[in-house]
Amino acid sequence: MSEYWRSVLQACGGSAALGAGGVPASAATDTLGRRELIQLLGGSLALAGLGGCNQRPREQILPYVTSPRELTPGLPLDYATSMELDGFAVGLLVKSHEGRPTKVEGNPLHPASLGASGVYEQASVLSLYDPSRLRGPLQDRMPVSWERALAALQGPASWRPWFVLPPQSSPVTIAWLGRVRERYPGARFCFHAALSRQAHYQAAAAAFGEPLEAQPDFSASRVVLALDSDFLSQGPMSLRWAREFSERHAPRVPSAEMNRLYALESTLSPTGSVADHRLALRSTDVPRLALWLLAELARNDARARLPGLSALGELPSVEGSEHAAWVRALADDLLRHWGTGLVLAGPQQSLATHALALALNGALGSFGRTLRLTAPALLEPAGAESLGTLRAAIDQGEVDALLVLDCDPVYGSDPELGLEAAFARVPLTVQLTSHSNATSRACRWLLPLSHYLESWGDSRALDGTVSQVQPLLEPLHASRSLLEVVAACAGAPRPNGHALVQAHWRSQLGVRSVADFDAQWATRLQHGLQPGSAFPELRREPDWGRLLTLARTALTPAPRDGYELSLPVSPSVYDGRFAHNAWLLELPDPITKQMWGNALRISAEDASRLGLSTGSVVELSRVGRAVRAPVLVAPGQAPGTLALALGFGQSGSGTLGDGVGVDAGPLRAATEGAFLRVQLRATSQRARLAIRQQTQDQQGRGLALATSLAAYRQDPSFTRAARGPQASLLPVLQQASTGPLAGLQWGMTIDTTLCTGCSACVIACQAENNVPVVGPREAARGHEMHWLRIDSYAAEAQSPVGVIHQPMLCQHCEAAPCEYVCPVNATVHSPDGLNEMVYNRCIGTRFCSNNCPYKVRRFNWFDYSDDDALARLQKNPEVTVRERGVMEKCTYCVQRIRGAERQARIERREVAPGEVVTACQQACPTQAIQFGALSHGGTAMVEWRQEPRRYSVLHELGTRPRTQYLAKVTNQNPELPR
Amino acid sequence: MPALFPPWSNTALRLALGAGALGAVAVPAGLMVYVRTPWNTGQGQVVDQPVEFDHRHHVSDDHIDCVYCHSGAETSRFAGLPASEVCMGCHAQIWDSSPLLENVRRSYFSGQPLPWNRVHDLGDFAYFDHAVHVQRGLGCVTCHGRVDQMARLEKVAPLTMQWCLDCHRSYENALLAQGADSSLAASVWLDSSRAPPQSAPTSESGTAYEPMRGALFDVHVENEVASRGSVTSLTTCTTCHR
Repeated sequence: MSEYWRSVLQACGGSAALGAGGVPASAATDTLGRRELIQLLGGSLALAGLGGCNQRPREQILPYVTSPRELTPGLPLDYATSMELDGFAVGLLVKSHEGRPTKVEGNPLHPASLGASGVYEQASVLSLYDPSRLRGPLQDRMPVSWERALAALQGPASWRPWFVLPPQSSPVTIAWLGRVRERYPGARFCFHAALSRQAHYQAAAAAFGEPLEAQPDFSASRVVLALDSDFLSQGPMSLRWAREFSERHAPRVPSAEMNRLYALESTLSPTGSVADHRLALRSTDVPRLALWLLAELARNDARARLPGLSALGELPSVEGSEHAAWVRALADDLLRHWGTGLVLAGPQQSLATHALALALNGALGSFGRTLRLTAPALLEPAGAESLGTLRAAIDQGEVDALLVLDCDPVYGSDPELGLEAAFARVPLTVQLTSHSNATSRACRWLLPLSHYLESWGDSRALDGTVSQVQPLLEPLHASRSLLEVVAACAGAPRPNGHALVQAHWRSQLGVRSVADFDAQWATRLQHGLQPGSAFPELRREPDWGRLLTLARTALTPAPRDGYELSLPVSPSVYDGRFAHNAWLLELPDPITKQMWGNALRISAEDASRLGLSTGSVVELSRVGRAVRAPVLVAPGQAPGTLALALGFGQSGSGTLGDGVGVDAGPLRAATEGAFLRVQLRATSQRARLAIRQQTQDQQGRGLALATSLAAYRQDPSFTRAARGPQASLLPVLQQASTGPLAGLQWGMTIDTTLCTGCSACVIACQAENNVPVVGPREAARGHEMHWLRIDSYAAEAQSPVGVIHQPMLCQHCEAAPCEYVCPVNATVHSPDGLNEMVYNRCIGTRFCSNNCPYKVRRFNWFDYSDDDALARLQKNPEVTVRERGVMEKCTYCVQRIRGAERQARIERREVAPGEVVTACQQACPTQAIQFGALSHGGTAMVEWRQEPRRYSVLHELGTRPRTQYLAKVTNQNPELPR
Repeated sequence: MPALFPPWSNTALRLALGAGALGAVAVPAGLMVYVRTPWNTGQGQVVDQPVEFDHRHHVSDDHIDCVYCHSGAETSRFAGLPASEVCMGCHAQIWDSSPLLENVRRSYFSGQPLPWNRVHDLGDFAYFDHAVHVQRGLGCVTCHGRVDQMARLEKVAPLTMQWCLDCHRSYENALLAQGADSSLAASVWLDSSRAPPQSAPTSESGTAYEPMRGALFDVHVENEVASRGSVTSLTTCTTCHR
């Protein structure tokens, strides 16, 4: 037999000729001759039967030499830490198996998380183990020691270093930045963020004299207006805001009150898809519309007449514009709910919009009711230096050293600024980064940045809560955290993150004794935050006049020539910093479902007028610069507008993101703000896009049901055709599921009213269940492996766009069509109602997937599992890593179910209601997914099933799924057409 | 025209067809039988280890409890092996220069773990949890045999799925077949003076062994048959295959 084995390899030209997943490379290129093919067939047939028969090579057990006190091998530990994004923290609990972090969850105690986690937080654990991370300091691309590197960061008192770093809220880091400033009076700081909130703070500074934070309170608001604001899925507090908003958005009974969301935006976002009313318009038209609204409010209600309104002079009237009816209805609704309204402006909007948002809030009586003023968490929130002033200073020769810490200003920057060339003129350029990126090309020193899971530090949430950052393991590579590098710049001799954080808080907490501090410190580490550190509410009298002068630009309509191109941050790779993360690269966009890259989103009207379809390549041009991008006909795109997500099109970084997608950076202009006027020209090229869901059309099948609140109240049981018992020859329940040995019957209920499409659940499932990544080629063929997908449908008989997001996973049908077609009984039904998948029995006939009407089964066409030594560390040891040729699907997180049952057996008790939480349920910010046992009355899963709007997908097939859905209900304003 | 084939070629063909038919049945059957034999399961095979650790001395003579070293057995899915510092806890004081303990000392002082050869190993696709078995009263000897009488550890149970299911489907029959006395209560074995059960149990492969003194040997029945918490309800696939 060994001869055959060797000859197969020989026939393929040695093991090197085996491509990905063990497929002979020659087989992939179709140059196989007939004789070669027969040889291979014969060889693989001979091998097929004997693969499993040999005795396994003997494994070894390597126990500890000195076992850690807190760790029992086999029992995971949870540590509280926080992840900071653009200066704001989200509290997390990270699960660690034998000292390696494997799964991120939200910290229920943290105000920014409330137990939920978003896409970036869930995927961050994979970034820790990324093999393309920088592993040691480099000077001119040569490895050097950290001693040399830190020595280079020292200079005389007259040194003028410029720091470019993300917005900072960390009390410790801010203290050390202060020490840097003391040491080098010529030091300058530029806080760079792709999704900068500076306009918000500048508007607040104009109104209140200081840049305050305006914190929305959705629990008190009944009407919300989002001015180009994706507050439900993007932003520092989005997890909390989504939860608070959703708690009042889904009607638990038909007579319940729902809040109402109006969204104004050019590009459909998760917030826009949840909105009850959405107006698609150019983003540059938003300020004008806000002004019309303010005028309308002032005209109709004395309470809305702000004192400083005269600063704008003659207010424009909305009459005669195409949006008149919309604005009038909106104004009426807001005034009806005076004091419980809320207006939000998206960070990328202009200063005028932010000023108008504050003014609208004032006009609607939000301050002190639904909007609270607090101190800002950031250092210099309204901005210190900018990239423009940096460039000017470089030209003047006033920059002795440039230290770019944990950001990538070159990528996506205005080509006019010429940052890359300018950096080369600075004597000392240092970048502290985890991965090589565009800025790295221009920096002579590259210092590896520690991941937050390897770092000590702290940060603040938007509301000011001091959030602890504690490491779960020693740095994997020779890296340092941002805090340590800043401290080194300030002159700390051998900066150690733990010592720095402790020293700072020892002085800040003002405790008397060491024991007191240790006790407080231990509590802080356990909870992951400093209790009581949220900022108190401030009362300020706004200067409306000064604020509204900022809104003067809204008086003139925005130019309408060309197309308006907006560059939103990607819902997967953000501003490009996560472009190395395979999970995020493969994550389907919440709206377009595109994987592995970005595409130019264009409206259906423009596409048909230009003769374009999804995949057509077009050329965008502006002031002589051009960029080619494939087009995607996107739902809900405002005519005349385009959108191209940031974060893609990187090159030369050595990471997975190289060459993926298109970089719109060359079209940027710092002077023009976030919305660019471009020209569009079709080309004859086409590109193949990896799009998971090809159509939003339900094709009359009633897969995702929706109605308005008024209709729901009139006919609560409108989903009657999609639920209830059916005539059947089969017994009501599978035999095994009855009787004393049946145990708890598991089920899941998903409320589609709450789902925003943010896809945190998709990444959470991927992390928990070792779901592999397949790569762009396989993804384009439809071979993506996500056990949970989010299908987004256009609501039938509604226009222009009513989107229903429907998380689709294995329905665990009681009459599962997949079970009776398996020839080897690899998929069976458990007594507790789960459809079980036994990977080691599966021989890969794929008949089960063929028979599944929901198409939730995923097949391992090739060996997708990542064999990289580092990537293996992330894998959950409680879930099998599947091999090639095996079918897999959602298991209702059976490892968590059995784990809870095991614990209950040991403790001689029953599994408690709410004890088993699936990964998707735990991550979901709006708690749209509820899992539990059917006998646990009182839990949301069971209570929701009693609601009249419950239904089963594809009910008519008689599969009797354990996963039930609640139809989407929108709270429509009767004065407005949909 | 002369005959192309010699006369015996008919017989040869018939013999070949018969052998083929027989082989088509016998070969897979033979392979299936083979994987369940000790040649494949490793049952009864003594395994060499980097350190000549004799359980007879440490357990029978010194009465060290199983859980003292294999501390995860009551709390975790892995019973685990002791860290080198556990060995050194005693052997820094007694037999501290013995050549038999050279590897242990080297491990402790160099920080390199001892590479023990695994005796009881399930496939990576099968999940086994020690804690729930031990906490529900299953003694160590039931699956691991009379370790206290082994010089080098051998695997006495085949650890095939069939063997696990025998207990999960009907633990009374499985344990009685092993010679357990169902009236003994389970407890952590501390005292060797308790009377052993009367009958001599045998392992599945037929090796006779004396019952170990004391407990860690037996399951207390606890009215399990009718209750939901019984092991006999745990025969669904995802109990072990997740």
